[in-house]
Amino acid sequence: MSDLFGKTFVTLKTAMDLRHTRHRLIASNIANAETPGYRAKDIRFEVELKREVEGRRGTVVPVRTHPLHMGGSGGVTVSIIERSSATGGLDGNTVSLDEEMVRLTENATMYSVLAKFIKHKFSHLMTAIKEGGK
Amino acid sequence: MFDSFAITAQALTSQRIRLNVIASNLANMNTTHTPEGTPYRRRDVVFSTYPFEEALAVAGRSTLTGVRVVDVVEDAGPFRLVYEPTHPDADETGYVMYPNVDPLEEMVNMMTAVRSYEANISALKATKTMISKALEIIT
Repeated sequence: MSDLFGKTFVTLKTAMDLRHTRHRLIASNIANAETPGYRAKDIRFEVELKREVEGRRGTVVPVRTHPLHMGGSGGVTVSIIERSSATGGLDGNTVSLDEEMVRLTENATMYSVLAKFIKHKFSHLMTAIKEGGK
Repeated sequence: MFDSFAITAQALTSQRIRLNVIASNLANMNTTHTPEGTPYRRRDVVFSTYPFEEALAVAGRSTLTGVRVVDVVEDAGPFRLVYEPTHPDADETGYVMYPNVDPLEEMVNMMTAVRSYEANISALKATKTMISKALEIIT
């Protein structure tokens, strides 16, 4: 797989997975914006991405014993942090709704950007495949 | 990705229940007797986190949490006493017990509930956009 798609694809995929994980946490934070005692959760995107990308260098690639087996790394495992907030109320809830909305927008936009990148990469690949035969 | 939908849906439902309770409080602001014989008591919802088991659990604790209304509790606060001797629910001294509903408090709670609802709608829209963007990769 790596020959055809290269490392960029894997990195983009990992980044999208992480953005997705972060999106779920943000959605969870917004849902619990008024639950007493709830602590806002997040991941350090850059740290996690760096760890994932660097960690992959030393990993063993599973051997495919059948040509139809799919390659892939599965889901990403991340460490989740609990964010403390300056606006923490008396009920122990640390969600700041406006901060979460900003994060939500930022994260969703970055996800779309990554999706666009991958789309472009695929279209380049398609160009190579189609134009090569002419 | 569809977890996000489920979480947001739970939150929307919870906020809607809250709005219903607030509407009920406002509607019964002047209800001096209920089937139980007492004036209407103000009600409040209790939110609690709701774990998503299959989530990315780190060290045994579920990190992804939805929300739901676990209880609707009655406010034990004192009733308002109003002097109205001609009222059928007046006691022997001429005072009528009115519900412990403060319209101002209810309005503030209502606004908070609506804002939370809107915030969750935004989260839902973001989820939708992300899914459609991911699908756009397939051309």
